[in-house]
Amino acid sequence: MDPNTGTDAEPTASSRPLPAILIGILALVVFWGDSYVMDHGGDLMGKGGSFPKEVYYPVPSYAALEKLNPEDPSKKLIEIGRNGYSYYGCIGCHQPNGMGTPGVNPPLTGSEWVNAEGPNRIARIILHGLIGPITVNGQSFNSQMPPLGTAITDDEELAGIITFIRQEWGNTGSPVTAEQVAKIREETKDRTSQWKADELLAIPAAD
Amino acid sequence: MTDPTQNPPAAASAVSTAAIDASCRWPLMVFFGKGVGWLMIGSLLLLISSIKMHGPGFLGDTAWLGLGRVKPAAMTALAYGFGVQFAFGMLLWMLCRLGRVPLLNAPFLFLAGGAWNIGVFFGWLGILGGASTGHAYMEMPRAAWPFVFVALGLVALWGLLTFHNRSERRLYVSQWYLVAGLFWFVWAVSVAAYLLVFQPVRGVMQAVVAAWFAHDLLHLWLGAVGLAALHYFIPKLLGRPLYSRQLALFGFWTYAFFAPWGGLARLSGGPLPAWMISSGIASNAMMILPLGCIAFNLYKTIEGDLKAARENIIFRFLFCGGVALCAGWLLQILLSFRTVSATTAFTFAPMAVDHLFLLGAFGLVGFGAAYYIMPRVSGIDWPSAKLADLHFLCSVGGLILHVIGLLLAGWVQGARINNPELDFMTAIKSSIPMVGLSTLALLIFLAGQAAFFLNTQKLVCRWWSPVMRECCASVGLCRSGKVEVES
Amino acid sequence: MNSGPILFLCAFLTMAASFWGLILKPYAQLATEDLRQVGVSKRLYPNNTLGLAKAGADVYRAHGCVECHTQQVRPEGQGGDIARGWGIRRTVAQDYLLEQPVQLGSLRVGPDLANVGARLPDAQWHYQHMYAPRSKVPESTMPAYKFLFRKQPITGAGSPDALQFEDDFAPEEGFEIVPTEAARALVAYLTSRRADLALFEAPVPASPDAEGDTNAAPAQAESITTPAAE
Repeated sequence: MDPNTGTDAEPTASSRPLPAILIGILALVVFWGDSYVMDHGGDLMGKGGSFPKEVYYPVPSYAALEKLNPEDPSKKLIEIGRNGYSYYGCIGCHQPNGMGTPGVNPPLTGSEWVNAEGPNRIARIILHGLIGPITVNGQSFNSQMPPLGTAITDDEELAGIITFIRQEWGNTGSPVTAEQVAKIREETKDRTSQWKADELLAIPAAD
Repeated sequence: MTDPTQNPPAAASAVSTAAIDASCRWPLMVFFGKGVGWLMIGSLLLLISSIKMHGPGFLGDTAWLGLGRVKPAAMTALAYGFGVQFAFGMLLWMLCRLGRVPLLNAPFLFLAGGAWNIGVFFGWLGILGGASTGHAYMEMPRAAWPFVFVALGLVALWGLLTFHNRSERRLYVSQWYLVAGLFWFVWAVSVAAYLLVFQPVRGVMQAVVAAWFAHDLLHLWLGAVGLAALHYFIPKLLGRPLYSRQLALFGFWTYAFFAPWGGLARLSGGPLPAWMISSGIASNAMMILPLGCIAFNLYKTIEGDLKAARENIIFRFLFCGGVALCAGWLLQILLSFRTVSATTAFTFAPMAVDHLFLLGAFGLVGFGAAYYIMPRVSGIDWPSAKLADLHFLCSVGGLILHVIGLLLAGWVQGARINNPELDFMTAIKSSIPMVGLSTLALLIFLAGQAAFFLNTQKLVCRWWSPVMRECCASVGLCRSGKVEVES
Repeated sequence: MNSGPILFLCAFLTMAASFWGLILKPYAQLATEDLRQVGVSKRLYPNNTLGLAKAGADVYRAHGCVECHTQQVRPEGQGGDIARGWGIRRTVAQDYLLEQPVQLGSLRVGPDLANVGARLPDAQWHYQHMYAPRSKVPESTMPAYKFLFRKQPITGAGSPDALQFEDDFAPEEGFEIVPTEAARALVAYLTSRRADLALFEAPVPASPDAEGDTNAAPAQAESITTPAAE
């Protein structure tokens, strides 16, 4: 098999002047590349530096990131709750849309327990758990919810979670404060067992 | 800068190409010979990992052959066992030929070949045994690296010395790519091994280093050697000069400045600040300029002569490799942009592009180079032209189908995963038929490599038996005394 | 260009520039971070890859789970990860601070696992899925990792860790399947996977199915009365 049709001389290159337009194209290309990076992640004169490490796509700038982080205390409570709802595992049973699982985990959406006048019953359920039959929106459930009082130690955080479930998914409950939660926690500090539905119904929802 | 140990330029009509080729014999026979072996192993394991997509129970009873181990073992065999070894062989031979100097004290490089293969073997075995590092293209565990670095050090040293001692002082295009590529590779692989294997960095920086290295391996080392080979063989085989030296220089400089920055585009969508990923996307897009210049330069060199040259199988390999390089970069640029990667990230599509670069842009060019180099350094002609033709058909055909299959699979997979209404398994299942095309293609590809392997083995055996006989005779082991001298 | 030194200089400068931009600068930004106090209760973050979960990370690495699973959640607008429930927010560098090795993954033949501990907290589910994926996901392409388990005769009341299978997948009468240490560690690792704490650089986006005029986005303040008013 003859593998070679050329000579065995080493290759050479002809000399041809470089077209000037290539320099122009190079400049354009570099300019484009630079603008692309500055538009997507670069933040010239930004608070976090020109290439901020906190700015992740698609946030356009450090300033925009600051706006996304709520500072208003009323907004903050909801966001604390939104995060806590996932962090403490509520989302695993009650689902991201608050609908729960039919027959197993009660819905929070449109629930009369969640939308009650006040948080007394709901806060107790979260702190110490629930066991036995309960009716929510006309459906019966007979399972149990584990206590979360020792996991959610911060009153503001628990207030945030309760506020979140009372106001998300079309629910119409009022917000709840850290002081209200602290009061309920103090009132029930000796409770060790899970609540039953009829026990809770004996307690008024709001003070 | 004359080296007194070299033939004085006036006295010799330069060193003959036959002498140069003969000087490279031992190391290159190891690099190419063993490289083809690893190519077979890698192709087989890649096929097995593809079959597992269709039947998860296939070879699934032991930990050793789990998909999570077979796939990285395949890529390690292909990248390090085949890719880098072929690159070593091509680098040394081209530097010798272009510098018009023989490879001095070449048998020492035999040590490099041995060390490299031992290291890669330990690494490969370690991956199958569960010691993979978890980083793509850097999976080999600690045990492999001392051998790898010894080999790399020897090759780099020999390469640099050969380049420094060249008697032809004018540089040709290929030498730019080879010397720069060698430097880039030594830097990249040392840093990556240190920061990922020996003293792992903290947190997501590991992913940054791994992506940076993967990109550099494919484009700054294998890519550079591939470009060196394209610029070397295409004009040589056609008997014509390269169209423009100035354009080649412009292409080289723009390649050198833009290419190193593209690594982090591989992590698009990932947990990195936006600027890091954007730098990769921008640089990938900017590569259109060097690639355009290089492609134009080579196209103008070939222009008009394509038909005649096509009969030459080496030219065919190189031409297809060049096309694969262009296609690979166009796809890479396309898949970099966030609007596209929103669908294609974490699918089979980026995998297709990687394979196109490793097996197409480098692989096909490497095959062509091997077909040219091996007979010349060994003195043995290729035993079978038919096997070579089969190798070509199966390699190119298999690769085209494989890449198309994976691209289609990736697109469907990505689009369906992004649709939250669809159940996840439904999304995956709908892409499996196209993965099937890719599996079939890998079978074809493997058949081609088997043909190459057979052809190479025969050549090596024909070269080796007289060597063995001569060796035995010289130490009195063989009494027949008949020595066939091949040169 | 015919000069060796100039060629070398070119190679050096181009590599040095990209090395500075892609390794040194990111190193200064990412690898010098530390655990951070986050949220109302000021907990240290991240804090999940400890103990048995750390050993499990090694099992994850050794079996190459990274070849089919990713552990990164993309933001809204770049894929459907959040819509699919794979996380409530995108993942960022801070989430991976304790990982060794960091296994982001690059192919999704299986679902993303960044928040699998939040999504599937039940160890028993994971044991059964690992032993026989099709017992949990009918058409799964995941291979069965039977060698991470042991079949043993039931003694007394049986092992508390035994896999509770339904008919098709249960072993024969009198035998039970128990996880080995490796399986235990791996499942501890999987159930520790979560990246759902709001961070400055990754605030939790509002739920997409929030209805009516209630808090659909953090910026809206109209419907929220200040707590002091109650």
